[in-house]
Amino acid sequence: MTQHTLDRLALRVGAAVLLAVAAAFLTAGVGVIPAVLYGQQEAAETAADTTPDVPDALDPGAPPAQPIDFSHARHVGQARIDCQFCHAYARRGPVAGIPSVQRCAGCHQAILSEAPEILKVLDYWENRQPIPWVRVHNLPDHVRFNHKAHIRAGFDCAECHGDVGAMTIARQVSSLSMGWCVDCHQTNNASRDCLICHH
Amino acid sequence: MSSLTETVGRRTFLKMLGSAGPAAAAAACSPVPPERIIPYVVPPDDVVPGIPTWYASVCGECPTGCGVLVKTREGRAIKVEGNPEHPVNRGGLCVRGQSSLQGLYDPDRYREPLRRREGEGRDGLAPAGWSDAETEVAKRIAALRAEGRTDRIAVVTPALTGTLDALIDRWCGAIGGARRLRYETYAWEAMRAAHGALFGRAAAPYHDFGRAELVVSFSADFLETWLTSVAHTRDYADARRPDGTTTGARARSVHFEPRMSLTASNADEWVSIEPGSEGAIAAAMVQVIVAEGRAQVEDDAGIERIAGLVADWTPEAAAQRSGVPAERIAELARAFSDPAAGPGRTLAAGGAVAASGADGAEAAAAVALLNYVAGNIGATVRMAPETMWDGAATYADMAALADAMRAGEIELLLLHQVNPVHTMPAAADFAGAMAEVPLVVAIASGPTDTTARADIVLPAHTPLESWGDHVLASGVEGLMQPSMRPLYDTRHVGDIFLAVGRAALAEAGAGADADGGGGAGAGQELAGAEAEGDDVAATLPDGEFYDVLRERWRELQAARIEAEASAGTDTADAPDGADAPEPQDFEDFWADAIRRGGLWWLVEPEPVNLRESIDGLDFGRLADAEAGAAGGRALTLLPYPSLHFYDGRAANRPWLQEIPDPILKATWGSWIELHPETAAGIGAEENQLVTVESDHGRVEATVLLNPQLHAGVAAMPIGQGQTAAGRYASGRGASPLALLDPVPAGASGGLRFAGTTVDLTPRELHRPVHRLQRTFDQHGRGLAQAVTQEALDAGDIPHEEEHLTLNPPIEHPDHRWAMAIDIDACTGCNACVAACYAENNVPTVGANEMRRGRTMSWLRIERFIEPAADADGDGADARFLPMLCQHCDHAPCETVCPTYATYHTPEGLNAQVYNRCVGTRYCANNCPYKVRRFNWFDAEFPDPLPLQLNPDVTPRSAGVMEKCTFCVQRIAAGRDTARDEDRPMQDGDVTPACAQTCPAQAIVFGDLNDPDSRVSRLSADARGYHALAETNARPAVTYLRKVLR
Repeated sequence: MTQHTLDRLALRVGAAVLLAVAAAFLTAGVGVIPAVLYGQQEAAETAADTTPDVPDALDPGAPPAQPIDFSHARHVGQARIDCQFCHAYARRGPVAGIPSVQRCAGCHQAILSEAPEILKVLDYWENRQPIPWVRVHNLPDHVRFNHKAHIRAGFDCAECHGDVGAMTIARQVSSLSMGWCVDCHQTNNASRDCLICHH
Repeated sequence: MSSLTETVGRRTFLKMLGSAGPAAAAAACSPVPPERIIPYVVPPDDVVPGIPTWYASVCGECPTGCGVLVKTREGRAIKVEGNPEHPVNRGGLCVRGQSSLQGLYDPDRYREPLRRREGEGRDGLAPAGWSDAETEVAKRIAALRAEGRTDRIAVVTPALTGTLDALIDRWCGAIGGARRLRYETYAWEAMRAAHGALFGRAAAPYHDFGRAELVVSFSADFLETWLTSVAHTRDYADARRPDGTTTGARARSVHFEPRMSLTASNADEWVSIEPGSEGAIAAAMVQVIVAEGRAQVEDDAGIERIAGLVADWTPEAAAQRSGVPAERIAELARAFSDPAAGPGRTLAAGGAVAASGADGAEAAAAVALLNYVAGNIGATVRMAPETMWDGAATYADMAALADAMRAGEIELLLLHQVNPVHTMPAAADFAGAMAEVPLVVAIASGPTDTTARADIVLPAHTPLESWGDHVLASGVEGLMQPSMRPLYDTRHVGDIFLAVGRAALAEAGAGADADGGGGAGAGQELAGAEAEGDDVAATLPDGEFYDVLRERWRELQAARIEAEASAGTDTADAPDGADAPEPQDFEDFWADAIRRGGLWWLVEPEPVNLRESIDGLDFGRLADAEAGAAGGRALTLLPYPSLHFYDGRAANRPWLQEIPDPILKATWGSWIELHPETAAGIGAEENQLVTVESDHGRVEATVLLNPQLHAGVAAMPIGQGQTAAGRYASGRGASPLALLDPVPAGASGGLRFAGTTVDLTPRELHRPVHRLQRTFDQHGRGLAQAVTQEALDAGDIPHEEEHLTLNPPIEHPDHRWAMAIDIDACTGCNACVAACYAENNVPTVGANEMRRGRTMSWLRIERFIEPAADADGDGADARFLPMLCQHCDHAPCETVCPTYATYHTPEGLNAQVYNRCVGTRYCANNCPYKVRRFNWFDAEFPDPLPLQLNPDVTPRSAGVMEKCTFCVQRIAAGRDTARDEDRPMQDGDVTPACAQTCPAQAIVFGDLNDPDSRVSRLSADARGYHALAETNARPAVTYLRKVLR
């Protein structure tokens, strides 16, 4: 960052804080956090500094620590497993879904069943416990996103999620900001009506 | 600051405003924990996350048992809708049915078994384990068996049907012969007694409002709680569609009642009568028909007997009793049975709560005779061979049980999902009687005034968690399946009975073995029970309740195959003599029945004949004004069943408390209604507290004025005034049942709901009950418009003026969503309002906030009263207007929003984007329809109510505006389906929650760009108009005028 941009950043953040105080009098509390929607890099960076292991929707930064060192590179990059083999709901509904423990164990009871990380998986399976994965892509609650509609429109998973085959631990590569969504909708001549995502 | 305004535009300002918030928050607060994403261990077969799964089932809110479809998401029920295939409700569902979710997610539900240990827990009830609780009951049963005193066990259930009913009967037999009562507050004793005395068939018949051209109702609230009200609403609306699209009957209706109830409001003529004079008017109509030779039934001897019965009831005598002019009664009688038009084309409805006084059976008999002489029995009034009411206990049976309890004759009382402490008169003192029973066991899903006095509470599944079946009448077999796993440590009532029964029999067996040879005694008892009960097996069935249910349906399938085969041989003219199709495998039959929600087939009505000797009825009682109004106090009390709470069973539901009562538009309370002159006479005013005293009790109630009430009558809704029924229901006003005479009516054994007289003493205290609507006068604004039938037929309908506008025309390239609401069909029943609350996560705010006018409802029903046009017509014209966001093309709210949070979508929706809204409330102030709602606070949903929230709708937080979205989430779902099927959207793809549930089918939604859509046709209807058209907002909602017949 140049000195110039830092100066501008400081000015904008300072002004914003002042205005926020003024606005609090006006609005008595803004309902759903518009920040995420109109999100700016500076805010995200501040947040990321204080909470390093929290994946922020706006921060395509470091991958979060996961309960199991799962590697997309192994599964997608090397083994060439289709995304939807594990994220099985993506073409059928709004959420892509995290593979059930049964699905993990289904393969790994036979494959690499002695590896230390796999033993953790099999341990979850034997105890019939879900694996508490940390969410990587998190949209605010007032945004509706539908995987099915995007797959139906012919999008490849990598267009939003990046080349996960090259990631050891999945991380967010797109900002998932509203501007990012709208840009793509504009490019592809999709609806840009607010209600498409916000209702 | 000036440099800032130069460089910072409005949008940038907002961006910065937004970004500062979380930056500050992140600096000030500790880090939020990382959000976890939890996978299934084993994915369920029928769940795709984010996609709803639907289960067909049966509504458990009233004895009708409408078919429902339960929408579940990720394993929890979030919405209940009527099952379009069910023959009774045909897709509609009432306000109580919509609220059944709040019965499931009632925060006050019993979550585990409880045992009374004084000083512990809620109401002295402390947690106990299932096995301890069941063992204690079983031991008590075994002990009573050993002493041969099983007749000292009493089981009280609602009027159950089907498998559960048969199982409990069998259980009573198996344990040695327990007393069994099927108790319903409204058991239609008067109607059943009347039909029994007249036709030898003590039935509550099915009334077909769809085939009647003239309906005369004698205080029967057939659109509210009287019998199958959802079916009536559909039939009634269909028979009255002004364009004759459905039945072409264009039925007229006349309603006699001292109060303008919801049903009366929907009649063409409401005739205010002296309380208790329903029977006299009906008898006089019979008298006119018989005397003038207009009877249309081929039964000369019977007509002769009837003439004798009603000889004294001339129209003049009835006029004297009722205050209705004699000529009017005679004219109506002539229209009711018109030989020129033929028999069986009219319908009289009676025997309801408001007409159930000491002469209730006679009044109901007069109505039944009216149907008989007009040839309606077997036509519009049909008696199925069996109905669910056949085995229902009378109030007298319950009073006798209470007496037995007081006399110490009952040692074990099992109460399943009944609340006699509240629903029987206070003077009957069921609570006191319960104290005389050594062990009272309540099997219930939620707390009531009765369960609070039980010794053991066994928590039961709610209907939405249960297996079961419901037989409304022969040929209507509803099948209930659980829509989700039980929320708490509850059990199915059938399984509770099975477990307790088995443990008791095992205990007794063990005891007998220990005694050595005592088994013979038990054997004798069993044999005795078998001999007593008709065909009740003396043992308990194997397996769980689910297995018993399947067994009954296996038998049902066999019976149906046999019936169809014999029907086939009757009409055996199969051309090729082909073999009958292979009977369906049971598993397929079962799966089909579950998927469909039951099994139904046509059943011929049972032919009935007038009995040779009619005994037990004394029409002289109708003359006796004293019989109608016992006690001689100043005012006659008129308790009426609550549309929202039925008999009080649904009172602990915030939706039903908050949605305004359909007539007075009052919320969160109960009251006593008085005519303004009556109130002035006793010196009471609106919201003033009065002491209400009868010969049998005393309560305090808030006065609400109702000009549409007979002077000299004090009306009170039934259902409130409970003390231990949960946080929402407890302590809300008073119950009129506390004032009633505990002695049953002579001829019917029913509770004398009507005819108690009361004295009112105003107190120097106001306890306001908030009314959402302060005036029922339209003040000439023409919000709810009407047209006469003559003008409609002549095509002489006022035309809405086209106003010029400076606004540019709005383009709707793909769709233009719109709604048409037929206010002629709308009955004002509030079902749509409840559906909207459920679908759109609309919060309730409670009584205090309602008093400040802070309701959050997106849809309200406005009620207006037009004064009668002619002076002699006491029938005022009531109109109901469902009011919701009109999605105006030139919406006044949009132009004043400083943040573009509200704007117009290309599809014609007036959008509200919550995350843009900063809560200036300019939009609400500029809305001419007053349909925008501001969130003054964050909504509160006590656990487990949040489980009901629709995940497809964002819950709003404090500081933002919200309003009707035309169920945009359903539009999105409809679009998604169409795209999946690679086709354009078509009519019927999208049905908002309000339109879906409407029992009268008064609301139609669709695309105005599609010229063939139903909404396009209706919006162009001659009756169409727009509310407040002079504001030129160009709404997307078209109302269809009410028709004055």
